[in-house]
Amino acid sequence: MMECEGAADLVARWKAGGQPTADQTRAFSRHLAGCPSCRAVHGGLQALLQRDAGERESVGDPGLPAALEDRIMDAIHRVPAPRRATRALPRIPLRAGLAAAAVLVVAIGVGAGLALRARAGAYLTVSFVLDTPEARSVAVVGDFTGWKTSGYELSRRATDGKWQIAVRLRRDRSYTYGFVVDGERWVPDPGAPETVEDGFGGVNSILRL
Amino acid sequence: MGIENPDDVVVIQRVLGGDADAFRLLVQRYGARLRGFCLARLGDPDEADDAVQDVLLRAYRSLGTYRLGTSFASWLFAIAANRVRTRRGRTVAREALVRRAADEARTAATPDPSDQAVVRMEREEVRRAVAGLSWPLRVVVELYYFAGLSVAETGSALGLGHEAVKSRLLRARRELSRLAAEPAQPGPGGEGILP
Repeated sequence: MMECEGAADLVARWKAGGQPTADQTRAFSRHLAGCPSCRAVHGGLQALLQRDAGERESVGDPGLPAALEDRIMDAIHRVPAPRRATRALPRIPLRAGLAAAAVLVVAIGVGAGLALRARAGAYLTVSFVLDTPEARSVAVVGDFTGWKTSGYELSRRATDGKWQIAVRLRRDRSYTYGFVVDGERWVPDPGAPETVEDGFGGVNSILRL
Repeated sequence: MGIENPDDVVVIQRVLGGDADAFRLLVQRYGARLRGFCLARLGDPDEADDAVQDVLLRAYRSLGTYRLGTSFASWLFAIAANRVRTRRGRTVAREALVRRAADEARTAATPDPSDQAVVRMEREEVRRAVAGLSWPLRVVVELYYFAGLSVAETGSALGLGHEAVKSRLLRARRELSRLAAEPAQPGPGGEGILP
């Protein structure tokens, strides 16, 4: 059971940048519930500590009344529909001049070994390869990257100069993806058997495993 | 929370494709946290509701400028941070805090065993403390703690680096622990320029 000293110590460590655990914040809350003096001093911090401990997503969430939701949607329907801005990542048209930018997606067994496959369970390692020698950087983006490029940058292969990255993906799912070249050009996979409109006038590629 | 929720992209594409009703999914997904954020900043529930509508309407109109590959939450709460700052913020917050402090005193004088009352008092206590922070610290606290953004998303919404956000959160913790211990009274709630 946490005592007054323990509560003060937890707050002091939190002030210094420490992250409380869920068990600590629960003990803290129980102590505050039965200690008016500590509650007067630390009560305003309780929800903050719980947020830092991962016990709640946010502090002071009062919910969204249904009436307000309806009011907002009524207002939405009264204003003009949003227009697409010029896309930030211009598409590379698939024309002859870009034939060198052929994309190859290869799905292979994990590590090419049964032991690894067994250990990995339902996962496959997928190699994304892009042949675009003029590029300075290439990243693969998709629903499996959270649509971010960070951490998914391809490396240039020493053998043939092609860009490549291996990504571990779960089987029996479909994935939507594309490539970002030099941080600004969006390149779909011309070899992908399936595509889907991306809502910005272009397409994303579909990979089914 | 990830840097971007893939479902957001799907919804946004539907909206941009002409399906305005799909925007309701974003309202439901972010509306409550937006309201919590606006309420923390403005203090008055009615004013917060108006602010939530204002922010979501602006987001809807500007949805075409949202850049795929960035965090939608950061983009949305950046709009919110700018809007609440211009909405009678300081005056309303002070007036509302005076009223709410009085309400809280009455509530405290009449013990209410319900969980709802306890939760409400907790919210008021923390809001009162946060209202005493300077704007540069306060906006980080409101985005991180009240809007539930990650450190990275908070930084993205404010144009700050990861370390700057963490530094401000640390400074805010020190201030909050002092402010929370003070008797209930309206805080300075000062506006300021982000350094």
